[in-house]
Amino acid sequence: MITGIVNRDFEPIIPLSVYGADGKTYIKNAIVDTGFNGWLSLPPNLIAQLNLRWKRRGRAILGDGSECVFNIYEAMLVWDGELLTIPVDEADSEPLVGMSLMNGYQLVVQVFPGGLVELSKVSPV
Amino acid sequence: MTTKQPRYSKEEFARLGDEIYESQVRPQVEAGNYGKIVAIDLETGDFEVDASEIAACDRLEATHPDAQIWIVRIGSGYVRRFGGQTKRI
Repeated sequence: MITGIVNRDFEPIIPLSVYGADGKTYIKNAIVDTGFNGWLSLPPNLIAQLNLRWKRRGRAILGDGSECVFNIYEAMLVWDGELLTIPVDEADSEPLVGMSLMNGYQLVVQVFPGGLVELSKVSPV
Repeated sequence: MTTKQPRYSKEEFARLGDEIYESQVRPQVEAGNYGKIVAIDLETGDFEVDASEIAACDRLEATHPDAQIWIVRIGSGYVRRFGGQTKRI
């Protein structure tokens, strides 16, 4: 199980261990974002800090209906005790955890500042 | 090992990617592959299809290590939806 907390801005936050190109793990707090269908997005300065490798580009639609072309990197991270390699999207926002990374998990959020966030593995019906 | 970098601006990348997808790739992949990812090398026009984005790109890079890859989700204009993306001030 992965656990986190709802912050004062009503954002569900979980800690993530992401591997940098130097092989070290870096703990980053990320916002659980059910409106994001990717795996993980990181801002350009964190991608540079982790020295992730650029892999490809694609087109995305944003919350306001506009579209953009964005860079995709890849990184290894520890997710619920397992090592995963996932696409990392470059986005000018706080780190976001998307629905693809939470695939196969149940998300429970106590919606008040200080409330608990829990992600637990489930068997799809 | 050299590190791969984009060799085109974002605008040019998308323009070339759309052109190759529409003219060469789409007619070959659209039937029966809805929702899968196509990875296209902009410089050779070669492509790979897979439900897994990483698997499609890995296969393309196995034969084209320096590929300039544009990805498309079959049947959609977008490979990602970013919900309430906001910039911190």
